[in-house]
This record gives sequence, C-alpha cells and structure tokens, in this order.
Amino acid sequence: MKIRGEAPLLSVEQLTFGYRKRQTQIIDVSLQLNAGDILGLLGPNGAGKTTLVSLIAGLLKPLQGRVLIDGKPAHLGQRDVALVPQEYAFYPRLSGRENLLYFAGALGLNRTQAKDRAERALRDCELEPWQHRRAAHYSGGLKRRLNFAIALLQQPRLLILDEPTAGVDPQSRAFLLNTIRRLNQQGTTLIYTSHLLAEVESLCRSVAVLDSGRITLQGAMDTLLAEQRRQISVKLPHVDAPERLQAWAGQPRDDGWWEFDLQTSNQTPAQLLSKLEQAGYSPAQIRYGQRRLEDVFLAATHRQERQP
Amino acid sequence: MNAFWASLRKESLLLIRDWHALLVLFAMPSLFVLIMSLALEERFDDGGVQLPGYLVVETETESVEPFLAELDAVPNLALTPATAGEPLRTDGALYELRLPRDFTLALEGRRDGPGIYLRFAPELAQRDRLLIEAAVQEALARYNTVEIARELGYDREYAETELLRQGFIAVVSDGQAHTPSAVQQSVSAWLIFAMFFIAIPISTTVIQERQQRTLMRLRTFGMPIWVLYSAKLFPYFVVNLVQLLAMLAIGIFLLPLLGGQGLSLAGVNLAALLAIGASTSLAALALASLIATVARSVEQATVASGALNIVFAALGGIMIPTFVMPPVLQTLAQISPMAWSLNGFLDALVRGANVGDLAGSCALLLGSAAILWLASAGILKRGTDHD
Repeated sequence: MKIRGEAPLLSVEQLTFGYRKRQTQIIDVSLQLNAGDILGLLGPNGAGKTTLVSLIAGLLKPLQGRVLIDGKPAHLGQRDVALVPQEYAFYPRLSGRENLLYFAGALGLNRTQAKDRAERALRDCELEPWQHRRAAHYSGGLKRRLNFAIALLQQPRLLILDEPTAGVDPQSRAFLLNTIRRLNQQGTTLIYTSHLLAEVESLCRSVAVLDSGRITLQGAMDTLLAEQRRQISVKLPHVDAPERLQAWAGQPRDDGWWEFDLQTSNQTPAQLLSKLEQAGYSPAQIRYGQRRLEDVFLAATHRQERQP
Repeated sequence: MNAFWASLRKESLLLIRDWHALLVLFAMPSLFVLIMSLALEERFDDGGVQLPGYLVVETETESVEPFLAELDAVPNLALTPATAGEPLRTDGALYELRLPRDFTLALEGRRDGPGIYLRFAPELAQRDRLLIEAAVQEALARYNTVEIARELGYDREYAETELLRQGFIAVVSDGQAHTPSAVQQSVSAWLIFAMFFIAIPISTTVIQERQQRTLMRLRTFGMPIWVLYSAKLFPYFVVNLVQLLAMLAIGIFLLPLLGGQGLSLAGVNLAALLAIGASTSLAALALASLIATVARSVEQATVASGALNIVFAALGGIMIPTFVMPPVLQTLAQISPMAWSLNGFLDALVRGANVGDLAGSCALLLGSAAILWLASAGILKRGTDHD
C-alpha cells in the first residue's frame, strides 16, 4: 500500500525474514514510503519492529523480497539511510565531540569535513555546552541527543528512529520531537517506532501497525483517526452508576474515558451531553469525530493486553 | 584511510582511559617480574642452592670438630646452631641436623645404628630432602676419606685428589650459557603472560560494542569490517611492544637498584627479540579476537580470557619453568603458545639466537595466529549472516 501519492523513496517489496533452520518466518511485509513523509511504525513487543528496521537498513538479509531506495536496491552502508538504535550506540569513555568526530571519520570524511559535520550535529542537537564532557557522564536525555546527533552526521534522506525518546525527561523529549519535525520540514523522510502513541499521533503523518511480523493496518494518520461510525468519547472523572451509562450505549475505556455509540442509542451528541449533565456527570474532556491512535492500535492488534 | 585513522585514534583514546586495562597490562607484570626475579635469584644462581637448616650438636667431645668442618665446607648447607626441636618451615630453617651424644662412637663404628638424625619441615619437597641428605652424605664421605688417608699416612690434598678424585666430574657446555638466570626467566615469562592478557580488554570492548549496537551502527556507516578490526587490534600490538620494552627496562635498570641481578642485553640479537615479541603479540591478538567472537557477554569473555591465560601459563613454563617439570608435563607444555614464545625469548636472551634461529618458534606462533583468525572470521561471518 502506498501511503501518499508521490513516487516512493522507500519500497519494501514482499519482504520476508526468518530462520531457515527453524523454519520460522517472523516478518512478511510490503510497504512504501514517500519522500518527506513521517511514518509511525507501531506494534506490540515482539511484533518485529526492530527486525523490520534492521532489514530496511540492510543489517539483516531477507529470505525473500527486497528493499528499494529511490527504486534501486538498498544495501548495507548506504550513506543516505541512517538508523538511530534504541541502545546508546556510542563510546561512553569518549566525549560527545570525540564521538561525533570518530563517527564522522568512520564515514570516510577527512578531518576538515568531519569537524564541520560534528560541529553542525552538536549545534543541531544543542550539545555544544556538554561537547567536552565524557558521554558516560551525560544524563539520559543528553545521551539520547548524542545518539541522534550521530545519525545526523550521515545527512540522511531516510532516517529510521527506533524508540528514540525511551527513558528521557519531558524537556529532552520535546527537544527531540521538535528537532525531528524540523528535519522533516527540511526534507528528511522518517520512520519512527515508539510505544508512546500520543507521541506518534502528534508527529507522524502516516502509520503502519505491525503485529506478529505482518502489517495489519496502514494509512494516513488523518484517515485512520477519522471516525468510522458516529461515536463520541467523553472523559468522566467520577462514575458511580456505570450501568446507566451502559444503557446509553456507553463503553468504558481506560483513564476514565467512556465511548458512546450514537447510532445505536439513536441520539445526537447534544442530546447525550444533556443527559449526562442532568444525571450529574461533568465531562472533563469530549472528543467527537476522531478516534485516538490508541483505539486504532488496539483494534488493529485485536488485543488489549499482551504477554511480555 | 580516514576511517582507519579515526578508528585508530578512537581505540587509542579508549585504551589510555581504561585504567583497569593499563593496570593489568603494565603494573601486574612489572610487579611479577620484580618479585619473581628477586625471589628466584638463588634458585637460578650458578653457585647452587642454599639450604638453610639448624645444626644441633649434643655431643661434647672435641673429636666432632673435623666433621663439623666438613659440613661447613658443603656449599649447599647453610647451618645455624640451635637446640633440638625448633619449629621448621619452608620460609625459614628447612631441616634440623642433629648429632646425638654418642655421635663420635657411631662415627668411629663403635656402635650400631644411625649417627646423624635429619628432621625436615613437613611441607619440604622430596627433591629438596634428597638434596639435603646427599649434602650430608657428601660431608660424611669426605670426613671418612680424609681420615682413612691420614691413617695411611697421606695428607688432605692427597685424599682430595687421589681418593675423592676432585675434578673427576666436569660440567661441560657447548660454549654458550644454557640455563637462564632468574631475571631472564622472569622477564620473558611475565612479559608473555602480560602480552596474552590483552585478551581481556580487547574482548570486553568488542562485546560492549556489540551489545550497545555500536558495531551495528558502524556497519550502517559503511565501514568495512577489516578496517574496524585492524584499527582495533593495532593499538594493542603497539601496547604489546611497549610491554616488551617496559619489562626489559625493569630487568635492566630497576632490578639492580633493588639489589637483584640485572638483565644484560650484551650479545642479544635485538631483531630476534623483536621478531619473537611481534609473533607473540600476533598470537595473543588472534586469541583475543576468537574470545571476542565466541563470548556472548563481558563476564564470559573475562572468565575465558583469564582462565585460558592461566592454563597456558601454567602449562607453558611461565609460572614454573618447564625444565623443573616432570617429563609428562614438559611434553604437555609444548601445546601452549606461551611455551613456544618462552622458548623463543630464552633462545634470544640466553643463547643469543638470531632471527633465523627463532624461525621455529615464530612459525608456531604465527601459524596458530592464522588458525585462530580464520576461526574468528568464520564465526563472525556466520553470525552476521544470521544476525
């Protein structure tokens, strides 16, 4: 499925991966991504997200299928495809600057070019004040920024981010998300995997849900979140008689949210809200005409909870 | 080439900031060289082994004096007068030599039974016990011979030349020194031990890079794996050569300052020393590469590196010189790369061997390095194919 109408920057064609000896197939995916897009790649633990991004980056060899970048077969070490792994993939005993200079050198750049790229990455990720401090002494947020900055050295056209904000404070998360948005505005295409659905919802223009190695749902964010049925979600802090709400075609969701099917109860949003008010409920939040990404995700993976 | 130099710089920075590794690679072998050279100096001394012990003389007759003079003349026995029953320990008096009240009667054959009583420290090795017994026997034989000669009307000189045939046994050599001195043995042995210890820092850093996915990231950067590994190993090759220089310097300059026998490089072919040093380093680097490839965790790598090093060292004559081992162990020693290396170093330091003379030792080390690297490459390739 093509997500947007342009010629795709990335084409993943009937890509399968597994272990021949064990005769298990853990990935079977087709996907296209247009230049300038941000794809949120979602999936429960063990769904195959990291395997898929490793296949796209060329770190794993598929059993079948192929990955094309601009219509040409992708290969390991393709400079315009960068991967930011979940782990802090740098050297704690080197300073931030030394790390960046080393990785720039690893790209084959000469000293002047490496210095320029490293300084730009330091600037882009606002790491300059800490550039001479050893990375081992960085906070979690600074480590994430350095991990991210190293990928920027490649000046990639396609940037793959595997859980880039895991374990960081809200300030660093906001900084990273803003940097990602800015990069996207400058033309970088992104694949973004995260368990934080609100983050994906705010950042990505398209979504693919991976479950057990297969894409179960894929499309533009706006389309997926658009309400399919007449439905209203209301956040009610205190519910003392849930059976009354259920009688109005309400279904409890997590965090105090209730979802009301207006079609079943044959009422308008105004009528329902009026009823709630008369019954003494004061809605804290109301959402109408749009679902949450979490609902989409849970529906696509068919389960509320997973075994770890 | 830029990638290689960048990697070289990075590895060097990582190494000089790893104080644990530097301690293991330099401080530990330096201490071993100093301690073992000083401790074993007497054992390796050409003058023979000094065996300290107590002398208990219970007889009061003056006729014991000539026998005591013969005991005193035996170079291996270092006797201190004492009373009977003093405790004996291997770090003090090893034995008690007691001449009972009726010693003179026994010596003159006027009564049956033993005339000298020897008591040993419980933990004293059998070899040392036999050596002490032989030394006492020598004193007794010398006393008897001189006495017989005197009764026949000959003097002591006659007894020594004609009866004892002093000088009848000659220790010959092929013109070159064969037995290493304590410092030659210790410098060579602990240098090799330290060189092989690079397996620990190399394997642990590789495993950390693998676990942190830094190696994976470098592969996405398009860095060839041979650049990655050669840049990683080259600084450690330099470290091994610095270890060689440091241990030689300790032997030459520091040991004499501490009252020990210094190491001399007179007559030593430096090219040969460098050749065996470089070959040893390559074998150690190859072993480190294999451990880094096979081990799945830092703990596994540390245990495997340490254990292999100690086994190779124990077998290879590092901890105990092979020439004091029983024949079975001397044969087993030949499977240890450390033994090949030690043979090469001792050939260079003791026998003044040139590069050609060391071809055998170097070939064994380089051959094993090639096999270990091929094995690592095979395992690495299989791992990346199935990553």
